[in-house]
Amino acid sequence: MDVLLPALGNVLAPMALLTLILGTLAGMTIGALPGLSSTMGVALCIPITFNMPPELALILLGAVYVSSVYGGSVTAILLRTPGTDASIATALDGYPLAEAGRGGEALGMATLGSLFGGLFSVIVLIAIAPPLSTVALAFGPQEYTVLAIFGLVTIVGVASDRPLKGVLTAAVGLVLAAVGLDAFTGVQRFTFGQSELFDGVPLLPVLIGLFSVSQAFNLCVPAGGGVLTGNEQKLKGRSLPLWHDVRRSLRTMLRSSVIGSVVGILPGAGTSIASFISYNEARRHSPTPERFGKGELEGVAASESANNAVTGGTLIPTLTLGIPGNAVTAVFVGGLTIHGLIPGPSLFTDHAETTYTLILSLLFANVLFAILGLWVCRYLVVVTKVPGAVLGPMILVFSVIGTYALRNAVFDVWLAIGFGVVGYFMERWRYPAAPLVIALILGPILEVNFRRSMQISHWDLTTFFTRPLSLTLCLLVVLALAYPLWTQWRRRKLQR
Amino acid sequence: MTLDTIDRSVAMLVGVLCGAVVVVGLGMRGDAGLFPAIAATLGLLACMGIGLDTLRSRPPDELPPSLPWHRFTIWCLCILGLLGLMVTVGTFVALPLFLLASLRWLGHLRWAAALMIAIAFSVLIYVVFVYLLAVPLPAGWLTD
Repeated sequence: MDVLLPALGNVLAPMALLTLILGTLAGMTIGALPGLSSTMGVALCIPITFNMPPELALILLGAVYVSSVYGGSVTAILLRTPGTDASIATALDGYPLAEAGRGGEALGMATLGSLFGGLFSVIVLIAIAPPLSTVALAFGPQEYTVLAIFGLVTIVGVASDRPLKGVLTAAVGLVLAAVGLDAFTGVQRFTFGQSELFDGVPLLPVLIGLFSVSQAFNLCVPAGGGVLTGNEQKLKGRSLPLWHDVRRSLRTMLRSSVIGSVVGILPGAGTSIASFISYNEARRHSPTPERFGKGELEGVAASESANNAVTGGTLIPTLTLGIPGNAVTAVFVGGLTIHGLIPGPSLFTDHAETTYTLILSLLFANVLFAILGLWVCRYLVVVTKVPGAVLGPMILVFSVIGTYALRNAVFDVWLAIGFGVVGYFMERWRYPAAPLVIALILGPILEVNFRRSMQISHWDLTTFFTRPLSLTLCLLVVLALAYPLWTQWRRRKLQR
Repeated sequence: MTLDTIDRSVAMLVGVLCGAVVVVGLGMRGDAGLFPAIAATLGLLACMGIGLDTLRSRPPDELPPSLPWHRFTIWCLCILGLLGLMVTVGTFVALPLFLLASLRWLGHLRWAAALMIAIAFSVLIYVVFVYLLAVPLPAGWLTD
């Protein structure tokens, strides 16, 4: 409580509230624009936060993150064009509802579902993160080594339909993470004499390149210029669902929020996985499963509660252990480190007030996007009419200026553009970018802790299996490796 | 070019680079090169796996969406122009020129509309980054 009250004061300060409103509006707009992801939104906002106090910066990033996940539902319902992959399941029932003239109700249910899921996940975050950070204090180099391997294994497993491509991009990320002066011996590694690389490959230009610059390429290069083709449905009738429908969906919202929070905590799993699992569960438990896919409000509630519940869940391992579970939390780590906040247990001890400011701001951002959403979301469809070839140059300018602003270095801008081109071709050729980014973040954690473990144990590899916590994590790694192989084997057996 | 051919080429190129990292890494003083060597070995194994995977008999390989080289070239030239002009004539000459060129040639907007958007967006960037955030953007020859 002695930390919560000052944190609450930080969030309720006039400047913080203004930042929260602007961040929420920006996030909703980014989420509504098909092709622009939460990851890109957070990445683009980091340079803007550079000169801000850490509290304000985290409020902005948090607001953009949670509201962009919600924003994707607007176009999913009205255009059958999900703004983000998190809202693909929402379109299954949202668009038929809009076609039937119940778009307002569908948007209302999406808003209520998102609010429910978002608030639930923040409560889970508040309940789980502090005790988990206390456990994390007991972690030694062995545990951190295995934890980093666990993070890499899970992200590689789910990032692509061809895991070998995920392994390759993760390996490239690990090699890039090794660039710079070696922390133990002072040896220059792969710097080619460039002083800008002595501290390693800067994370943020890589993130902005892979997620924002590559997106600008995606919008500008195709001949169509990215103009949407969906038939916009006009909003008619009620703008909120009936209380009867809301009450009927409450159990679904609760179940989906639990699923979303659990999926969020697991490294590698994302919003789209959570929303599809929840959608399926809602259909399985429904007395009228045949109505799903044809315009069922409960389907919208299930998908939206789950994808917003993921937002708080993903921040649990990120904030407590410093292990980002997906691309957007990897970008979040970049946002934290730029303000001198190193993700891990110290966030809840040395920087507790700032951390709780972020957590409480997520709570407020959820309420705010619900209030704003009910008024503004129908007008957000207008922004989707902006052709990609008009939006792309603006994103590129923001990326270039934002990257330059990080260290006032033109080298970083070239790096961002270079990684933008690489990211564009990676997407075309189906090489996932998330393992590369996660490996770039986890690489130093993995290397430093592995070498420390080896120094402590005099190069005895059994040190990872002799400590209870480390052994448990090793078993999790084995499980994470074995599960996809087992499911693949089972699927082949069933096919035969 | 099919995806399999692309994968094979990528695997060969990255495989060679990973091999070089292993060689250089193992030659470094102390254990400084151990971690990059391990990571590069992992990359090498993945490249071999991808290479072998492309040789397996499978249903007909799909083609990646074709790249519109004309638009890609214009876009790359616009970006190179932006970066080149930013450090020479200054950011606030380079930005409107880049936006004007890309909006006109790639977005196919009318000159007047492209000009209006270019100027308005450059003013927005000036207000946010120079006025509010006090970022010293490259000023170039004109302002020097």
